[in-house]
Amino acid sequence: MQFVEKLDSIRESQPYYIYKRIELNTPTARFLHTIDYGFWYLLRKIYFKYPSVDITGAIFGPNLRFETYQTAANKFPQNVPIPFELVGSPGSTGVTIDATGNMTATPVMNAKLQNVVHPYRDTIDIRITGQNLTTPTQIDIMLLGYYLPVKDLNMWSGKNGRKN
Amino acid sequence: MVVKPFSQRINPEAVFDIQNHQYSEKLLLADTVPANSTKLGKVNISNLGHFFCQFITGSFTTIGTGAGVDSGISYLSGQMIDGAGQRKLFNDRIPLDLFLSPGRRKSNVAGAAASGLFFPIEFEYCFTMNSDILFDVVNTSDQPNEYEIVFHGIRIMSDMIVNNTVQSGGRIVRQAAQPQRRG
Repeated sequence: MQFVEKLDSIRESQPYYIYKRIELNTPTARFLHTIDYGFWYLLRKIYFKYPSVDITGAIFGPNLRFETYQTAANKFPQNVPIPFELVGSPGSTGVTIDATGNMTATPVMNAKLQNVVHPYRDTIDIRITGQNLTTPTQIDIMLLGYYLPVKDLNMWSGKNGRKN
Repeated sequence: MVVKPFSQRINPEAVFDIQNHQYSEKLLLADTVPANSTKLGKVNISNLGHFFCQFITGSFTTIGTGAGVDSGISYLSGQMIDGAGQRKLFNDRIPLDLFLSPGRRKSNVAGAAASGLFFPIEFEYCFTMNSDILFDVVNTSDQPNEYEIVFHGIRIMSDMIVNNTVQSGGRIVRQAAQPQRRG
């Protein structure tokens, strides 16, 4: 049972979905997002969406892969770039794109839990590689996660949220 | 192995006591966004108590340009905002098909079939009573498009409402909200 006293602590965190559309003009592209000061970011899931077929039916199959780089820890938490479809959804399933960059609406599906905590001022860095022979590929990336305030900072009064 | 549906005897009085304080609730936010424009949709958290949202589901139409054909293209993007303090819960407007399930639904105009998958997406946040959930949506089509979002969560009744409910024999009496007493 949830009580009102607990609600204050629940409200300290907030869902924060981060979205960017990236265009893959070269063999590589990057998704960069810097976490605000005063919050950790708990990354729960990553959703990817990109077309592999254009509206005329031409298949350009970019076969995109990605690798994440944890800036603060200075490490790549995978051995090689990973295919999008093996981590998130919907990937390229059923996605087409027209000449103006409009992608078809595809159903969102499950994604693998990540549960990675990024410290404040860390930069989430997702490096995308792939082959793109015909059309520039639009890549939609949405991070599902939560902002968690760092309560011992002065901006939160420095005393775990208490004033005295 | 036989699976027992109930591992223990249910005490109706205890269950009702819990339900008098909090219960599963769903809030619907539905709106139509005119062609090539933005619109701020909102749903009010009433004064019954706080609303702890756990999941969101939703659907939308994909009526395209020109003759109003259901083109299947994602035209709607939206940003969720907590009306209490205007706290933004998305960094930007996000295409609705990236976070709403079952997503695209069949409209009453010609077009391809809609999707049949269903996967509620997690969205854990406590909206305070008397506040609004705001959803700032842009429609890039030259035809109007509709969307519907359901917030699945738990209503946490304020002590005052619960006391009034007990005193009135189970009938919920709506009153103006009072500040919560902190223990």
